[in-house]
Amino acid sequence: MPKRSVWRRLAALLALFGVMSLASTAEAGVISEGKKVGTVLGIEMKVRHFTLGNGLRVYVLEDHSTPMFAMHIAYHVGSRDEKAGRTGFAHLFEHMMFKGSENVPEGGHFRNIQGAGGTVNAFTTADVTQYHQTVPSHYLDMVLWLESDRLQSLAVTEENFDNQRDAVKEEKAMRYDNQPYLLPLQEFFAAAWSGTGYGHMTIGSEADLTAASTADVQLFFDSYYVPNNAVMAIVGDVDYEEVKRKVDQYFGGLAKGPERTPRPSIDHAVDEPFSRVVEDRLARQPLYLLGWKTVSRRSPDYQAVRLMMNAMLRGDSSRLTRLLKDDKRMVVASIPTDSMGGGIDAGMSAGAFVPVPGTTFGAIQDVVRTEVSKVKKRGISGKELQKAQNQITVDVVSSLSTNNGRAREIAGGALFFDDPTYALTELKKYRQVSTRDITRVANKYLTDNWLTLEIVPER
Amino acid sequence: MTTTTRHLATRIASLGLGLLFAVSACKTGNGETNNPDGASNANEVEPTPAKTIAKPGRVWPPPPPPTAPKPVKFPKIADFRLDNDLAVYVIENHEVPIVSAQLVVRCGYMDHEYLSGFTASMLGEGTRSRSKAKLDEAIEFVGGTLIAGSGMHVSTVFSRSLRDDLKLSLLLMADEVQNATFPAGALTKLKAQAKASLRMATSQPDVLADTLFGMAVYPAGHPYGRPLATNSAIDSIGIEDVRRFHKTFYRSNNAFLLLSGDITAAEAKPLVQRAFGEWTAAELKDLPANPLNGFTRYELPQKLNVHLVNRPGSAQASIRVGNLAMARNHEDWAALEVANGILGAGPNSRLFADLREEQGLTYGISSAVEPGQAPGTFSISTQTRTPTTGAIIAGIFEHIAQMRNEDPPRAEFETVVRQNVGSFPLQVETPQQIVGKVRTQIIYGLPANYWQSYRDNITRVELKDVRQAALRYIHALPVVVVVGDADEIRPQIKRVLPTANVIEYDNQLRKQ
Repeated sequence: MPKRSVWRRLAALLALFGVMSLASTAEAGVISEGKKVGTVLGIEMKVRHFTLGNGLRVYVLEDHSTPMFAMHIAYHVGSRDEKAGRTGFAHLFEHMMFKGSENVPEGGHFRNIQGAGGTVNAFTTADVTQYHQTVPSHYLDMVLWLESDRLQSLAVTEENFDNQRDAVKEEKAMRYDNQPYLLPLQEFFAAAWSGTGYGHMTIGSEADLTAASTADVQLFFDSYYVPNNAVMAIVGDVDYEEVKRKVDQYFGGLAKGPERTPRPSIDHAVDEPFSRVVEDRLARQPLYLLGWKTVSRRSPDYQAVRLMMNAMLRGDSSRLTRLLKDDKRMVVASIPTDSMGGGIDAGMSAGAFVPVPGTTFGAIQDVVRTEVSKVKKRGISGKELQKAQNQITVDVVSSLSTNNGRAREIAGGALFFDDPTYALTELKKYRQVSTRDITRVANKYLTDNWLTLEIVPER
Repeated sequence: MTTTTRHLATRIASLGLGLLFAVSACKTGNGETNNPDGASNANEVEPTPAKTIAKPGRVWPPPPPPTAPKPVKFPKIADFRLDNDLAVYVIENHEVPIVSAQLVVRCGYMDHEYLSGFTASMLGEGTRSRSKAKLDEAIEFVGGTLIAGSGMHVSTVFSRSLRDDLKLSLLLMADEVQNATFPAGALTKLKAQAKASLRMATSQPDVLADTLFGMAVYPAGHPYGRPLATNSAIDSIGIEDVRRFHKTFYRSNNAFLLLSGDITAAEAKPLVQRAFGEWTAAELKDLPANPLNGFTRYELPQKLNVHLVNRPGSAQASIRVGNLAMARNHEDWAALEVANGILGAGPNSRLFADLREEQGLTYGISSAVEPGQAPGTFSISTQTRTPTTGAIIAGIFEHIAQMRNEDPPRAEFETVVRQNVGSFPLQVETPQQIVGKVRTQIIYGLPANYWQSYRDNITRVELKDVRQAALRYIHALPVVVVVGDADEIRPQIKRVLPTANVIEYDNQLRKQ
């Protein structure tokens, strides 16, 4: 029998008999409401939102152009919250969420959504665990029911847990251990942030996965899978008032849980260069990575730093890529790694290079050093900046072109920045960066303390 | 996507570094639908579908019932034609200020195994007035994309940009299509890349399996069933061949343009006229006939042949079981789609539920109907550990027999129909998805109202049609291809398919 705190079991039981929703009138669970409108370049996001008495925050964007909607529910927990010796747990837990609950059999969540013609999935990062589904619009009740059932009564059993632990190990073997470059890159990023929550891979280690127990599962569930630690975003062919009524119906009966402890801020200071050379048995050619610890996503310099890196590395006409790839023929590929290697509160800015056979990492570093000092001295041109801004504009606008993309952005924006329209708010910030800002951040962050990784094929 | 894995372009793309950092989400079941949200963060890890077997003995409450479904409109598509016969289609969607353009040219690998790919790849290597660097700079400056590639039936030049930069995108696209200079040095570079990709591709068991499956199903010389590419064939391509191929096929009356996004037909017309108005049409007599039309006779195997490719030391066996089915525009397509849904499309299907979930013989198994202008294939694809090769082949044959011998239970049939009908709104949400559908309709010669009536066609399929479709298109004597350690696999095949004729190959697909 799964262990569960008494009040949660009671809440689940009462909700099962409909007592909680009968005891409160439909609207009583909603304690606040509001509206946030973001507008950039003629794109408008009109988000209405409400909060239940148990702390669940819900964001709704109506779009009736196609009879479907996307729903994301994001829990404020990720691999950076894992205890020592339990790496990989947040993601393993995500798998458990598909193993059934009080009223839904194992796999029933998948089967019901797919049977309706919908899609369902989830992802875990260092910062967040997010579950999402896209379905025809007449299945709103089913989606809310499925999500609320597992939130109030997840089936935590030894059998389920063993089964998913094996599935995760299989996933790790297929998606990570059998891919060139991926493992050395992730290990490098983890090492660079060692001592912080970002100091291990989200997929975790084999030994830690083996060590995890159902007691860990229950504790994790009780600590983080509570309505006040979640935000929900619904985008598409739905009616706000109906969503409000139904979310209250399905989630209003859940009790508020403990508040999660705030996460520590991450020190970006680097005292000396950090370099690694790693052999990779799956790689057929070397891969070089070169970068800096720069700023967190919350820093006012974040947008300028990202634009600077893109101006140097993104696309065949960017500064470094043109020089290394077309002019000097030293690399076959050169790409900015953007948001890799950290998370919301830990930023690394780097470029990855695949050399033309025979080109040493040292030779590439010389070129980079020269260009970096030019940027520090003279900055970049207005045209280079505008190009980087235009590229990011198209990225952002594209990410908002689907209901699923918008729901994803709204949930993330609400969770991390308390702004469901943060995608547009941030786009505005990108477009306000000046060439002077670029010169300033280049001098501030592109220090001599480089982070370098050299991946070479196993000899 | 068995046909496409054979294409050179895919082989080249498989070397692309972009793939390195993307961990994609679960694939959608329908091969024709693009998932625009495919790429995600490298740190993300996603779940595999959980087991789908309910525990016995417990009656589960049904989920809340759906409310009344709403009608799905397939948007109206505006079209016009330039004087040079370039057909233009406009799919309006004003949600975000982006416009995509696809110029589809009617030439592909079916016309030439190598030239169609090289020609498309070389469009961006420079034009009469713009060097490669200048082309790159111009499109990247506006944050746009401009890229060309070739498939089996058509080649496509694709662009995407903000609405205000559509004019620029179209002018660059038109410049590449009409004025590419095809510098010889660039061809040398691309040939080296193609050979590197070929080396990598031929080391992959799935490429060997798909290639041999096509060779076994199709008559000799058929574009859908070509043998592996060779270095010497790549070497023999000359720059004049590329120029001739371009001159022959890249003509206004042999192409169509699909515009989608924040644009109206009235706005599009002058922009398209300016970019493509001077493009010259071909004399109809100079346009080569569709090479697929040369194949009028297709033969089915009279006995059970197993094609066994030896990859000594292979820990896994890659398996294909299937047969020739029908062209994409055949009237039986919808019935086979339902039958395929029951048998092997997606995690609710029989092959997945039984051979993966129940018996644990494989991590993934699925079946698919390959679309084609000529008859495509029905095929089942899977991989298994070497010692379980016989068991999984036996399981596949049992499921084929069951599809052919018994009507499916009504509940199972209705679930699959509901799933296919229900997922339709999810397939027409974005302008890119709709463009994909329009492309399919045009390329495969489907009726003009095909997508408007798609859901009706699916619901019109009756339970008894499923077995009829299986009897016709899921054969009792299919082609079987196995790539793996032949010494370990041979006795297993003899055991589970005692009457089969085993034909053996080395790992370059040379008959032994």
